[in-house]
Amino acid sequence: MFRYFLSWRYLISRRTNYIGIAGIFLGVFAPILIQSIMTGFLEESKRVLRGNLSDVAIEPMFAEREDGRAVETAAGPLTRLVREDARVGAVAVQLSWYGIASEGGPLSRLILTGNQTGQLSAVELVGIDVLTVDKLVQSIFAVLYFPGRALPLPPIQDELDATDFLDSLKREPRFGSRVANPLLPFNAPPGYRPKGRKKASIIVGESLFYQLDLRRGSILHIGSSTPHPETGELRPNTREFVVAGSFSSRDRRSDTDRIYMARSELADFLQDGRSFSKLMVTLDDYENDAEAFCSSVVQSGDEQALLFGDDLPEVRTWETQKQGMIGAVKNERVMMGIMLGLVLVVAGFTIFAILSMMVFEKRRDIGILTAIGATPRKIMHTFLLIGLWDALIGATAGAVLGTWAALRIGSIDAWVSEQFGFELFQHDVFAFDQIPSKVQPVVVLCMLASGIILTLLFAAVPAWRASRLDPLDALRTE
Amino acid sequence: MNPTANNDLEGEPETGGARTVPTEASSERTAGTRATELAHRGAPSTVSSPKTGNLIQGVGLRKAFKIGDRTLEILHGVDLSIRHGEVVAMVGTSGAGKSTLLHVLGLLDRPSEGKVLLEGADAWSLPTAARAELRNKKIGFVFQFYHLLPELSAVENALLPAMIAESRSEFRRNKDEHFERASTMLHRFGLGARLKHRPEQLSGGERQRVALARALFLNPPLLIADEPTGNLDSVTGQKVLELLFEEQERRGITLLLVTHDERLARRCNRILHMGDGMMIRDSAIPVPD
Repeated sequence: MFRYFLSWRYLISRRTNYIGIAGIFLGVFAPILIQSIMTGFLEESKRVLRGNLSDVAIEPMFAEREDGRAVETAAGPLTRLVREDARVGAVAVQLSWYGIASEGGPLSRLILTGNQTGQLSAVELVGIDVLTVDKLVQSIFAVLYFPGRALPLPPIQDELDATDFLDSLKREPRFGSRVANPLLPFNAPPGYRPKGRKKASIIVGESLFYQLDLRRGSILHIGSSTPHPETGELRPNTREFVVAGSFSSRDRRSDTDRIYMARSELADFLQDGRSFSKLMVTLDDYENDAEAFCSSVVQSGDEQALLFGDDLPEVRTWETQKQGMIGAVKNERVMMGIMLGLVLVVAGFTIFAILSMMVFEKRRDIGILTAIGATPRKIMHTFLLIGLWDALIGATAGAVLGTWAALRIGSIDAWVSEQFGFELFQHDVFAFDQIPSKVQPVVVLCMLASGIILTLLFAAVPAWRASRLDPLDALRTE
Repeated sequence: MNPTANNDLEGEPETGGARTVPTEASSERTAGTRATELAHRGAPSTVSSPKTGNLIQGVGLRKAFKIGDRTLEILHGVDLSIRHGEVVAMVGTSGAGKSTLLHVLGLLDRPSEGKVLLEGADAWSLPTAARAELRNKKIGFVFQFYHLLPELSAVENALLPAMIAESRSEFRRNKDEHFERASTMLHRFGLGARLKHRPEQLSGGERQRVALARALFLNPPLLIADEPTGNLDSVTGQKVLELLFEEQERRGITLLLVTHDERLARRCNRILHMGDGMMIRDSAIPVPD
């Protein structure tokens, strides 16, 4: 009994113990808060970085393989192969290339000066399929001719099924102007009255839209160079397009340099014989199936000469494509975890120092307790219990308040900004509205357990020393 | 000083005790009765009925310390036996080995050679936990410097042996009775108004009385007092001694007292003279069985 009673009494009567408790509190509180913010940051970053990417992108290298067979350049065979896989939710075909865009007139005039005046931008041209009308027709057809039965043909799928493109069209842009109808995004913008031949519609990333000072209905000059499909000689192409609106993918890079147009329009513009560059694939269960799916596509694609093979990264998940940024955030999270874990270790040393000091101060008490019947083991338990109280109070308070702070970080940020006149979180630096935070119960439990176990480990040494003290040393003198 | 005179233990003293009992005499009587029951439950069987014969024996006790390469022998083969109910004074000059012998007999310091037989059992051959239990239940210590725990109040210090003896659930069950019993003891020792005071708030005499209450709380058959008045002025020391002898007589316990005071030693049944690590004279007065 005395172990609980005395350890508690020692705990509350020594103010130095409060320093230990505060140390453990910080050692648990800070990692929970920071890890929650870093996890939120990672998830939010992933959402932002993903932009309009699909789960998996399959981008064959169109060249002659080592076995002498040429990689298939038509999208059909690869699309069929992918759609046969039961794990696949949707597939869309993309054609992409690079070019230069200018709002200010013929490109030749701006080539030398436009870059300095901000009227010329390097852009990624992405041709996609938006087959809303076809899908509607197929649905009507299915209802009329195959009521209650499965269609003999696979359902039509397009970019809107395979990526978040539709969301990026619907999202309120910060700078741009949404398209009139997101389901028919390449329709000519309202009020567009072409003089002469009707120009194809394009959708511009919101930052580029702002940078080039575009409006819905603006005419954009796009230039590019493509190799001749037979001679391989580079040929310049220029064409004017009408801006149907902007998209906001939240991926800053895409929003700055990407232009979408109908795949057929891009193929017609480029005139290089290609009809697709890559397949965008969405999986039903990305988290569990991505790796296996990629492996099986690589194997089957290689066998059927639909991919170049030879360990080229032709099949990649979106995370692999963005691994540089995601890896950086993950690394940062790990580093923060290690650094904040050191706080806990320092707190453990504080407990060690406080308890060692207490054992030294309490030598006489230890002698008295031994004289009146306490065993060395019970004395060790008494001092271990002091560590346990420190740990339970500090770690529990740290876990509770850390979780609370992580859940209320937005309000805390707002309160601090209001009270002290400075921003904890600079909203213009990141593309987030508020400090992202996601509390992971497993992290909270791990930190709580680490706090308690580490404290007990650090308390064990002084407690053991207490049990080894010779009681007579204390009892012989005042 | 008849050891068999009173085995009432913590009960209401038949004489003398009435001086110090609190005004709520009836309540203390009830508490005393309960305390007696508890004492009979928790205390060694030797106390609950008068015993005769040797309580503690030292056989060929030697104690040597290593100081560097040198070995310094403090006790050179001491033999002694103390009977139940005896009041024994141990006298001798400084460095004679009194305290060392006391610590060996009190199971705090292991002898280099020899045995300590407590109620016939070789105490130093027992495991650590069993020896600790003997210290807890069979031996009460009163030190020159009181040695109270500063964080605890007077009453908490007094019942510390019960806290050590009992598990948490046992103590919880008996808590009220223990507190009542410790309060009753302290009332009788003249500390009724000081129950919740910490040692730093008590005078030297008061502290020593709390230490005496702690030593007697579990009714041990042996009380070892190491110069209990050595740190007190003569008047206060005399009061503490009166209380010590009074409690010894009431309980019929064995008292082993280390002192430099020849007058005090003469109040005991027997005087052991220590000199140079040996028992040089044992002026024993037989105690009737």
